[in-house]
Amino acid sequence: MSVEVPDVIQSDEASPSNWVHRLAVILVCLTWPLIWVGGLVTTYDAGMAVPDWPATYGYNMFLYPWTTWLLGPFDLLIEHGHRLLASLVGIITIGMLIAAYATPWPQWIRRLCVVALVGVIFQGALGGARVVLDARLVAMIHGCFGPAFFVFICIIAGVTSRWYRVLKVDGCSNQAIRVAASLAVFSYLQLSIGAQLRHLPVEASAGFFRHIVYTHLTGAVLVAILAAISAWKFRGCGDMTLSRVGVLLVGLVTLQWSLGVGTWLVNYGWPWSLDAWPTLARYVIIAKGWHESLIVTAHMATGSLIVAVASWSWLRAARGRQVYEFEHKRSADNALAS
Amino acid sequence: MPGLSLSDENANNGSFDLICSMFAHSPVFRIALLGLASLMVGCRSEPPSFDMNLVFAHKLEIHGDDLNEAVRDARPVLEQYFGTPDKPKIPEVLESDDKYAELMSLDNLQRAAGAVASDRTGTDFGLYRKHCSTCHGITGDGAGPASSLLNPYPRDFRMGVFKFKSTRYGSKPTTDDLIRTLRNGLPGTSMPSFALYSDEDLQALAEYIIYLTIRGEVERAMYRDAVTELGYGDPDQSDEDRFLVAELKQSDPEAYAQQLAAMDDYIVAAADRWVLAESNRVSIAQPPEKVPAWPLAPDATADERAEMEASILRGKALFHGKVANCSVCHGESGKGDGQVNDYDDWTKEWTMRNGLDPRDPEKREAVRTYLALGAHRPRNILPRNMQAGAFRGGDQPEDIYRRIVQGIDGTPMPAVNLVPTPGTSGLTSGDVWDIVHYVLSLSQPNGTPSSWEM
Repeated sequence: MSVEVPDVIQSDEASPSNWVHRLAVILVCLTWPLIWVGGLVTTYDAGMAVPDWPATYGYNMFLYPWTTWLLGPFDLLIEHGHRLLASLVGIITIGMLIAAYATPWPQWIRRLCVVALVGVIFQGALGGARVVLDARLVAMIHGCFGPAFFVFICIIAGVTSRWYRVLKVDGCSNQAIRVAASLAVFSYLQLSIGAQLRHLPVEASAGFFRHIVYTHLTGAVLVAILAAISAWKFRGCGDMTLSRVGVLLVGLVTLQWSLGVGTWLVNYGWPWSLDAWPTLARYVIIAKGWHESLIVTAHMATGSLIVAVASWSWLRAARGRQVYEFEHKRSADNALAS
Repeated sequence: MPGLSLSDENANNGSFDLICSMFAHSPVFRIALLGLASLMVGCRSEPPSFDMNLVFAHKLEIHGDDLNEAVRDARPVLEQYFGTPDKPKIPEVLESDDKYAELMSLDNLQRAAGAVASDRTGTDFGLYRKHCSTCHGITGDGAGPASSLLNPYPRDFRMGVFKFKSTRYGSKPTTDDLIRTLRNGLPGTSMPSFALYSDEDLQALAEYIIYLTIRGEVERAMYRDAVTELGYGDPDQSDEDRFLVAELKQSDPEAYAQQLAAMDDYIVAAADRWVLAESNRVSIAQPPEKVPAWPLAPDATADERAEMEASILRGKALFHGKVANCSVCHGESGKGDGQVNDYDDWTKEWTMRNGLDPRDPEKREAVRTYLALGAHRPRNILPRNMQAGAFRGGDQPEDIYRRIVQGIDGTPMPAVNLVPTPGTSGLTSGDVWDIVHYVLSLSQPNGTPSSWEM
């Protein structure tokens, strides 16, 4: 069914500058690498490689000698690099907020930018508290909040994009939207459960660890099912982009399963005897090896990406439905008036 | 086309509500928030402390003794002598004697203990917590958070038994043995290789493992004495019959001095076994002159190939023979499919040697009690599959030789009786080398020795 799509922005007032969108996209492109670097910090247990905050070994963070940083120990490289990249994200978030207020964007977009700034400041404070308090619990919250900020920035990039204004679709069913919502929420929950494993308390019990592992495995199955259903449901939305994103989600979840298995193997080895495969039976885990660390970190980063893509598809499906219902109602009103 | 505008409140609220409803009003989101909150309940922030060996204490309670009080008394005493996971201490009796200086230094213990950190020179601290405690536990009890899902279970250091070492059966490993295991890892297990770490890091870790072992052995010795020498469990127990009572320092200095001396005895006895490790190294006899070294060089002569094949065939006969009798456990084909229902010593200590057969349905309740106290669910120890070639203690001929001659501590793998001349009472070093060659040949790509192409 073809519907007339309301153009939210371009009707009565001039089109606002798209700098907010550009900056949001830049933020998306910076935040995912930031999550990677933060993940490496956790993988290498380098969170305390710089023991002070916001200073770096007594220096203003931005004035820390770059040669010492780049040529120094790897832990220092990634921890200080994480801080600098996070600062850049914070600065661009400020720029996005300024752009939102300097141009005629709706108030709700501006509010989202304010929330983003508050979020990035909160995340920075969490990172600082993790260092100052040397607390793994705070590190875990920091690790969970980062992907939440990433998702939020993706949402801002979505609502400030052109497609949000000119979307022309048949409209997803409410069921498709609910499945997309469930996928976004459960994949975030899944990510948070994984964060428990990565920031395990020193004296956690074996029972607690088992509970988290089994919950994480169950969550992985659930997320895989939801991703498959989402991909299937998106096909009925009349939106090719959403259909492709559905396929992308299935691909990402498949990749994530492989990385999850790899993460267990490079951390804990095979849980059963593999004498039938001598090459595997002779496998020796390399503690903090580069490839091993990349697998573990990629698992974490792909988890964030799944949450972001799922949330974005949820937004797009919900927006499509909103436009569809608006048009449907307007048509009915017009018919009634005539 | 009339459309929604920036000034249209409905339009603005519509979009804003869309975002809000996505993140706030969704019931799924609320469930997620509840889930997250419940996950955080499991976190604690108190400084970590060493766990007590409740499994061993309970095992000693077989005659009706109640060691709960002994465990309660032992905790502060052990802390007084050994410190905490954040602030380890070397007992004074060891610090004051130079012969223990090489065993462990406070600097290295402090580097290995405590929270994970590093400085701008790249020196790591908290090494044990960074690399070991998730599996081996903060106490070295082999019961870290991940332990129950690993196969084999991580080593419990407190019994003082180590499998892979260069010393005699029943002896402690040398520090170099521990470092070697750290550096090489154990193939086919969760024990990684720390080859990427500096010698200083590995030295610090090895010393910390020795520290945890001595602490664990002292604790065990205290419980043994609690049952046999002291009055724990006796309602009329006096302060003199406890481990160490500070009040006695004033009221009965002589009794207090005796308690101090007893503590020093436990510690020295445990540490002395480590000091002796160097002198217990096993010397490896050279292979018979006519037998070439393994592996054969590509340009080996026909004679050398024939000698090696003969050695392998002799080894095969010995492997299946009555003296070495390897095939009983390792199976006829060396696949490790012989005796597969035995347990290692860590499990046997509280099961089979404690009158508890884990397979006996009537003992299930008693087994559950031990599991609740921290023991791992019993698993059979499987003999090595020679065909897989994953030799955990090292895959060099010398490593295999040492395993055969000295056995593997803590496992059913016995030491052989090494005799100077061939006979029925033991094996000669030449026999052992023949078995070494046969064992190594089993993991060759071409299979059994008969088809092995040299």
